[in-house]
Amino acid sequence: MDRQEGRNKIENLRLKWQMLVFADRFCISLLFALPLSAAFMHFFGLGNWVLLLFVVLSFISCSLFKPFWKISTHDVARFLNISHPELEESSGLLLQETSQLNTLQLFQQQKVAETLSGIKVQILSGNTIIRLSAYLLTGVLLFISIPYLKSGNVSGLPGTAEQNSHGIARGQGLPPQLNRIQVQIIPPAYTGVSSRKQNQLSIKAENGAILRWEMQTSIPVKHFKFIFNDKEKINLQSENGEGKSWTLSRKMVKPGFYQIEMDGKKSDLYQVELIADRPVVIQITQPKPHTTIDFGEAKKVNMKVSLDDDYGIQNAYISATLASGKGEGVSFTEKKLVFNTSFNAQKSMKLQKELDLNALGMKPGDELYFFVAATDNYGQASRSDVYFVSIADTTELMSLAGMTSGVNLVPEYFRSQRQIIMDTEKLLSEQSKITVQQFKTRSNDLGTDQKLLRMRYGKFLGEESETEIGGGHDHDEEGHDHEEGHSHGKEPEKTAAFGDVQAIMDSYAHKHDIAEDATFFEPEVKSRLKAVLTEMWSSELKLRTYQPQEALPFAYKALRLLKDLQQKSRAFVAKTTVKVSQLKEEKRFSGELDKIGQPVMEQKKVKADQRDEVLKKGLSYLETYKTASKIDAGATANFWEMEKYLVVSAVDHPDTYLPALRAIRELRSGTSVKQPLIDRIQKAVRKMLEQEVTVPQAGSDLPSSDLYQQYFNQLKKDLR
Amino acid sequence: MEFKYIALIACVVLGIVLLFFEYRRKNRSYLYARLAATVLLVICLALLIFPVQYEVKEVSNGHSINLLTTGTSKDQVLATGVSSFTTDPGLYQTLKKSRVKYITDLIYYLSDHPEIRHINVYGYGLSLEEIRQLNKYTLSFHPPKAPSGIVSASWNNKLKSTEFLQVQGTFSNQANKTVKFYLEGFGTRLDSLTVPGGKNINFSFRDQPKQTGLAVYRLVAIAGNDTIAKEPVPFEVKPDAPGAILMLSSAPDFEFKFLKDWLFDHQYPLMLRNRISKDKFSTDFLNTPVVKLERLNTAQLQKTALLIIDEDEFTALGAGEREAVDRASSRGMGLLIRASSGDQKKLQEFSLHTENIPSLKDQEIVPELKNDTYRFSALPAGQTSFIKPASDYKMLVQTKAGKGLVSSRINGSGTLLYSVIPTTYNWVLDGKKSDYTVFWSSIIAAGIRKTTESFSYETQTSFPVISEKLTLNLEVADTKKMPQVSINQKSWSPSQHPQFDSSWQVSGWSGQSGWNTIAVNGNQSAFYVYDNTDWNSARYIKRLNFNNKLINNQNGSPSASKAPDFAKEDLSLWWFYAGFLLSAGFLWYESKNQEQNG
Repeated sequence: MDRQEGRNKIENLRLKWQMLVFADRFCISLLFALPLSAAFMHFFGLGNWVLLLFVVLSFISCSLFKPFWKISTHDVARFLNISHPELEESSGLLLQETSQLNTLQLFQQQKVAETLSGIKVQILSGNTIIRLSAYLLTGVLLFISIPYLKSGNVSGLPGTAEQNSHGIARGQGLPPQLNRIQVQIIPPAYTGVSSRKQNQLSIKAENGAILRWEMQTSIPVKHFKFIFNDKEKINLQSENGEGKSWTLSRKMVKPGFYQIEMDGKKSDLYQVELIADRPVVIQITQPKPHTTIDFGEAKKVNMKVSLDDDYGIQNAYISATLASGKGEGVSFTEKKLVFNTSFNAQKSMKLQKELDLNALGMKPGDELYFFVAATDNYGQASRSDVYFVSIADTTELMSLAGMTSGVNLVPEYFRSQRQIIMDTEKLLSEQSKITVQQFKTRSNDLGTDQKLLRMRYGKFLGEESETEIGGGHDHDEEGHDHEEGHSHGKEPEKTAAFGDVQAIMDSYAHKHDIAEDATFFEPEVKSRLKAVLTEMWSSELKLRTYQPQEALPFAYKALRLLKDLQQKSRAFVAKTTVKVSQLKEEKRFSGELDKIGQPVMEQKKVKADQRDEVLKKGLSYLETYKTASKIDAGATANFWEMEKYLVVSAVDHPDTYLPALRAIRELRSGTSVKQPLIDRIQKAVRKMLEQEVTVPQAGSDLPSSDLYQQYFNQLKKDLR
Repeated sequence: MEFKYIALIACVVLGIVLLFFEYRRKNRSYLYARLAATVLLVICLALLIFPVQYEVKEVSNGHSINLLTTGTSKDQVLATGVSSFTTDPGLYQTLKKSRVKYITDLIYYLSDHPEIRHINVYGYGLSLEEIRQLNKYTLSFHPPKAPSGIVSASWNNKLKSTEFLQVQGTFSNQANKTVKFYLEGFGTRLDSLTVPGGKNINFSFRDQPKQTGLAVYRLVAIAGNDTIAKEPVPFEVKPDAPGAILMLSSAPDFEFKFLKDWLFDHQYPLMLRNRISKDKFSTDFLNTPVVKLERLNTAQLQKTALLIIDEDEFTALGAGEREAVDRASSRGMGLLIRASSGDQKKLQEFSLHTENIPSLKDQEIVPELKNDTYRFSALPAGQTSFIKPASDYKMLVQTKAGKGLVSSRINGSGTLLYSVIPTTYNWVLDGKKSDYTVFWSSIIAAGIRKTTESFSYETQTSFPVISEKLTLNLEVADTKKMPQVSINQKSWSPSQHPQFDSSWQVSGWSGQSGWNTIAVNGNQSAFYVYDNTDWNSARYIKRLNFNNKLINNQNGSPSASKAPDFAKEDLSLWWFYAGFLLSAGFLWYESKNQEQNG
């Protein structure tokens, strides 16, 4: 064997050695990287990329400690010299060029080359293999086992669930063989909400949404069931019969809860909460619920409405009913008024509409009732309160009906107001025929009349009266008592009898509002009278400023209020025509009654439902179970009963009662930490029991009442 | 014969013999000295056997100890100086450094140290039992600052269904922090308040418990993040047992009909008899078996808890029936007479005085319960007759202006109620059911026959603690034989009260904290024993108070220990030994000397 062969062998060995070191570094780096990345993925919820990152990083850092690429042929030669003494420390000679060697070295090179060919060099020993495979095994074992560790910080909280690399929500009491869960929530189309996916099994969805569960198990499962509300069981068929992937679609119209059962193993309970669609909320900001349009006011009503819905408004309109006529001749006409806007399923709208009462055909005295109705895009209809608009009827005010009969508490001044209105209208109609001066004089005269009228009413309220204008008018009554007493000097002894202190004082005093007069009417009547006076004031103002046209509305309003006042003070008694035959007193109670039976009724009230009793007792049993280690048979039976009622409640309100239902099941499975579970159940049960009204309870006496009774009897005896 | 006498006789004999020989000696020199020495010798020998004792006047001030009990503050310990003792191991641990000595048993220690006459008590004080045992000693009490927290609390621990639990007491907040204080039960916060720093607040929490049976609520006080108190509030709710009600009406009317329906809804056993014609009745038996009701009899009335009758029907009762009603009423039956006619003459028959106020005819009646803040809505106007206040009547319901509507009077052990309200069913028609319920509940509760319990009990202290002796005072109905008392299924022996044969007492150690069951003659009930840490503040306050009272009382009265005390002390034996030696030595030397001379 020549030198070249020896050199090839060394080169060969170098390659092998490099590969061995490479494998060694790789195994060690895996030993660090696998557990570390598993821990990061599990506790911090990071993705798969962590694994790659850690492997690369640790491999680089391991290799830097022992760089395999730096292994040279000289290293191999040195290794050979050490491990094989028969090479006489000369294997390095093989690597040197023959030309540079002296004779002795050449001889040695020859010899070494021959020796080397006879040597079987072993780089990979059994120990190394064992060592490396031990590294690898440990790393892989740690990698697998870490996800099974209980993550200490978060999983204890209810409702939170972290996800591991497979995107599955853990910490929900799931069977471990479930690999992947995805719930797709497809809300109904009208809501306009897009479908969404989640990994949690507790679901909050729109009413009528379609839920689609997709699940994958790591091992084949034979029976896969969904149990809804503890009653309805649905068997799932796996896709392609492998027993590994499962799907279920279901439209949810009722809230509740469900449970997954895999080969008889039941999971925790998960709630399905449904968000119900609200009907449209209608708010009318204008007009007020009752509006009266008086004479002279524009016969128009401006309407402002705001609408609100959670998914969208489909339509809205005004439904108006017109009531016209009087008494038996009332007729109703219904009309549907639309808003001049288009509805594009907006969520909130502000609408405006002007109701033209003339266009609706409303005459004075008619009333209009209206409300706003709206539908949302789910088809739920809602409507507002009913609003009223009425037009005051001036002709009705002018009529004498109702004044000719009945008690006329307020004297006949109404006619004056009526007269003023009639005169004003007459003046207006004659305006074109008469001169301006005449018009003004007549208007002023009317104003004076209006003032007098006002003052007369003012007297009822005990107001100060004036005398300057129209002083000669009917002041024969006690009117002069209220005159201003400024006539001090003018023969006071004439009006006051001699020695009449009151009269003398009156003549000197300046009397303002006289309280005695003010007590003639009830406060309510007085306040109405005051309102009348205000209108009269305004009417007078307009008349005196020669604007009779503008005075009319006030005059009409004054008349209407007066009329109301008059109507108020009236009482109606219906006529009856019943004739009763005379009773014969001596025959009363003398009939024969022996054949008349006596009715006897018997009834028993049995509470059909034991719910309250069971729950009430259950609360107490739970309380004792907090400290006791065991519960007796009665309590166990009670717990079963209580669970039934909890299920019923949980179906209706899963978000409130499902935690309690979970707790009662967990409690039955026998756990060491009872207190928080029991608290949760008690809280729910307490909520299920309604507030009770106090019912009469008998007090209780001490048991030794015999003694007291004797004492009492003795006292009684002594008293006699 | 006792050794004492034998020795004495022996000494006397020895003395006589010795004297005889000394006297008979031929050499008569020093005769008297020898005789005297012999007498001295024998006397000294005798006194060696019976040492001489003498009485010394006691010096009491010098011998006192300081006894530290729970609650002793550090400052107090420093002030006490040296000889401080404690029997409380917990306190000893905390005060170890302040040279406090620990003694396991105070009484034992004191009997070992008879010189101790006075004890200074520091801290919250001793238990009642301990103070009694120390009656031979003078005590002085040095109380610390009063503890903070829930310093007192009480509640109605036996409720009937639908009754309210009311927890009242005082919270003393001595720190500067604001404390959140609330009542908690069944995992829910029921009622709460905040106590500002440095303030004492009287609290009153209310809740309608919803369970039947036993339950433990908790009073929790939280300052910042620290729970400073969490005290149990145990109580029991018993299911209601409605009593039988009998209603007699002179004519079918709505008031009775609505009342009947309402009572029927609440599952009362009820009989209603309406007079429909002369001697003809229509009768309803609700939740009760059918019986003959044409005439009232004593047997029937004895089963009745409340009789509701209108005035016309009451006057229509025969003499025998009236007698029966009166007797039943004086034996505990409730009697409610609806006197709404306003006929004053008729009403005076029942010794009920009313007044007619026609001016109130148009006013609506707004009833008000006495001692209750419930606000009723108005009843229709039209009533003019009202009850006049009288000394033997208690007004239950009156109008806002104070005119009487319903009043009650005691008749024997029963209650007589009069109501002049014509109608109350208007509330039901108006949909105001709660007004109707509250009104009739309070009136019926005021009148209905009381139920008698088979036994009742109460613990001697308001907060019985597991580490202390438990004493229960029992009241038992059956006085003929000794009651069988068992607590937690173990039988205890009761002792009877010397004067009241229905009162019994049991005492011992319950051995279990929390609910303990008690059975007396087979009837079961439960009481609560607290843990040592429960209600600390309240218990310390109690202890402070009775220590203060007892120790001050004791110091105020001239006790026996104040009289001059004499103690016996032995005269040292060395004196007699020396006398013995001297006399014996003299006799010996003298005889030796005589021999040499002779």
